[in-house]
Amino acid sequence: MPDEFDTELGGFFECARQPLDGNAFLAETLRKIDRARHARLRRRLIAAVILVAAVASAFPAVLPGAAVLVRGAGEYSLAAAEFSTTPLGWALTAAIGVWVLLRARAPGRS
Amino acid sequence: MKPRVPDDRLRSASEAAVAVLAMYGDDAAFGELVRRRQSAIRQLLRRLTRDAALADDLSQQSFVTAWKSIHTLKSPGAFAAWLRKLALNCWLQHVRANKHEIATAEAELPEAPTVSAVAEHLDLDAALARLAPDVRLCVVLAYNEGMSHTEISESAALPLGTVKSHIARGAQRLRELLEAYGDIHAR
Repeated sequence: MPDEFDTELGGFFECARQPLDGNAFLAETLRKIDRARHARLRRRLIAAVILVAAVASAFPAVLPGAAVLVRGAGEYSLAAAEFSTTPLGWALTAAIGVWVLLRARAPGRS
Repeated sequence: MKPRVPDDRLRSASEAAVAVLAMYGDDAAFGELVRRRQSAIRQLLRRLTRDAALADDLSQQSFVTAWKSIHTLKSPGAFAAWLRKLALNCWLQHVRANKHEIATAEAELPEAPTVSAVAEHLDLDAALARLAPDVRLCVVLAYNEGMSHTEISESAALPLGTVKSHIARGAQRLRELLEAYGDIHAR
């Protein structure tokens, strides 16, 4: 309710309210929403196509670099696997495992 | 395909529950919200624009905007107020975009309501059209929507003092115009 309310004026506003037929309005609004939905879907499809095209066109340039990275990761993981079978590697792995367990249990203690 | 809530259950559900379904992408639920709120939004915009076709266009624009951004609705229980704010923004954008045309149309209005303008029933919209857009907005939100001065100040992004003076001035002007209407009918 407004702070200073002229009841006579409020009565005029009340009288001016008229029931509005909602069916045609509802149908037209839902049609516009449907159009907006299709437009959004179209925009997303176009964006996806552009993204795929950009990735595909950039692929040849990126591929050699990616291959070097993958090879490096493979060599590193092989070296890491060999290290983990040594006593020092085993101790380090166990220490990391204990640290992870302690971290996981920490919130439960408080 | 998302499971749909049957229409009769939607009709009997609370607005907050329907708004939650709409927020999760249920189009039938959004349709139900349009069905429930269309009359209030159209009435509000008719008071503000005095043009039924334009009011319906702006109302539809508001509902489409609401559909696009319903995921940003913070509280499902506040759907009605949120939608009203969207409708007000639509109207304010329209006023800003058509400032010149609106000013010209308002300048062409006669100073007092004429017999033809108010022939059968009180043409409140004709009287409201004689108020400046900001004043009209404050008066309509106070008297048509029953909002407090503070709520109007927040919705219309106007200082509280300005809102109070707009309402006092607007209500006074409306009373004068409606008295003129009474004189015309008394003749």
